[in-house]
Amino acid sequence: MRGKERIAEGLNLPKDMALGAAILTVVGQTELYVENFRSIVAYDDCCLCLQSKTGRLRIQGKNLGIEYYNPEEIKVTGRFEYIQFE
Amino acid sequence: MESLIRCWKGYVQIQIRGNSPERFMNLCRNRGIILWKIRRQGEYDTCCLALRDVWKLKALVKKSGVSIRIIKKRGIPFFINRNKNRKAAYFSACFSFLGIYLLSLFLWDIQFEGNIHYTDDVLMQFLYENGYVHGMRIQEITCEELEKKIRNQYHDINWVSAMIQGTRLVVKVKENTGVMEIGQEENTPGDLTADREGRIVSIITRAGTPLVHAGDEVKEGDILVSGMIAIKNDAGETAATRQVRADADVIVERQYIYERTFPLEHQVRRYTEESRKYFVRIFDRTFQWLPVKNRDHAEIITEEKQLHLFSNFYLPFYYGTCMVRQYDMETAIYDQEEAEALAMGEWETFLGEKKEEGAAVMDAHIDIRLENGSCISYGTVTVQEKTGIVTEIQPDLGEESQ
Repeated sequence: MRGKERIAEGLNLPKDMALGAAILTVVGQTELYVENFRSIVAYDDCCLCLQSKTGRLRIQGKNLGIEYYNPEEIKVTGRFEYIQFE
Repeated sequence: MESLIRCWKGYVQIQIRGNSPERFMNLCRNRGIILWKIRRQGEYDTCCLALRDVWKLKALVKKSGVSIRIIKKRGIPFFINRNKNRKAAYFSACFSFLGIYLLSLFLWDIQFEGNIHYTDDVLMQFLYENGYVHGMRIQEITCEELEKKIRNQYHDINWVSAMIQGTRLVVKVKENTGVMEIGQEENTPGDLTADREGRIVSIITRAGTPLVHAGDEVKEGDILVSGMIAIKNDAGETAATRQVRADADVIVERQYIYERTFPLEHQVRRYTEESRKYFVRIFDRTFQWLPVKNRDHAEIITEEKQLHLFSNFYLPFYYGTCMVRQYDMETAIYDQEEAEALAMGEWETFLGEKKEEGAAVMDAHIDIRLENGSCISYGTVTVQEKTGIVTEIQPDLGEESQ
């Protein structure tokens, strides 16, 4: 584990604040909420790529749509096949 | 809820074309512009945003190098703008709301719950006499005063609750159904006296001195059981007397004469037309399509419903149907069979009434004949029934029986 992670782990700090990690909430195969990310890199109806502080997040599937996109959160709907961290 | 707020404030759906729609979306997000329902439609994207944010897009469009086009406009601001010339519609809507508000200030429905002995009509009449009517202002109703008046008027109503619900007055009552009638005090001394003539079948005395035996013929007013009890000494002489309330089961056999006469000629209704008519009633005025003209020879069954917006917001508008059956009166004569059937029916009713009074019918005969345009029924019925009413004590008779 890197130093920062160790400190966060040791002090029981929330990782999204301490490390800037993205928070993903997946509901089944059809809904996904993502918080703590920077921006959208690419969007297509079969692929959505998000940029977070720690890296990129790629979501692949079919009929992907963005229900809402606000400064705090993004909600993605559709049929997910892969969720990949790059 | 959120969709209602969006509709209230107004929103647009735009089409984004260009090489970097993602950059445009990110710029919107950074400026606090919320986008929703973002979809990829072939070569372009569509999304929705609030009306107030549309004015901020110009700079972002230029910066991101996309082109946008508004494809849909939704919400109250657009509705008002499209219909701004329809002043009559706005006036009518305002007038309707004002009218509904004014109607909500008055009482339009009265409901009773829990009443068994006192019908809705009786209670409604009482309310009308005391000034609680349909159409009165709700502010003028004092529920506590109404409850007090009902309790004072109807003594066997134990509990009353009156409350206003919307434009309804709901009166809930609880009647005292188990009260015995308070008549004579039960410990008052008295004799048991025959109320009618008859022949004693059996007598079981619980209190008092019996003066009759099984088989005796008694007439009205005869004392059956005396309330005087003689207390004898060792020599068999009456040392003292005590007065009690006479109590006994005295069964007598008596005969009732049954006589009925009714004419064979009678009026019968011949129905000519049956129709259903609809009506609307506003306050007290009724509007009916093709109203019934001849009400004297018509049977009318009315079913009426009252309009209400919610469960308790009743309005003074009523609608319903009238089932109208027109008829002509004709003279008819009962034939032998019909007259006998009618007479037998009345005879059975008479016997049934005797049984309901607690009498056991021992023998019954009836003779039915048709004479001079009338049907005459003559019969006798022999019953065994309980007899005896408590009367003021006759002290002398009690001693004589010893």
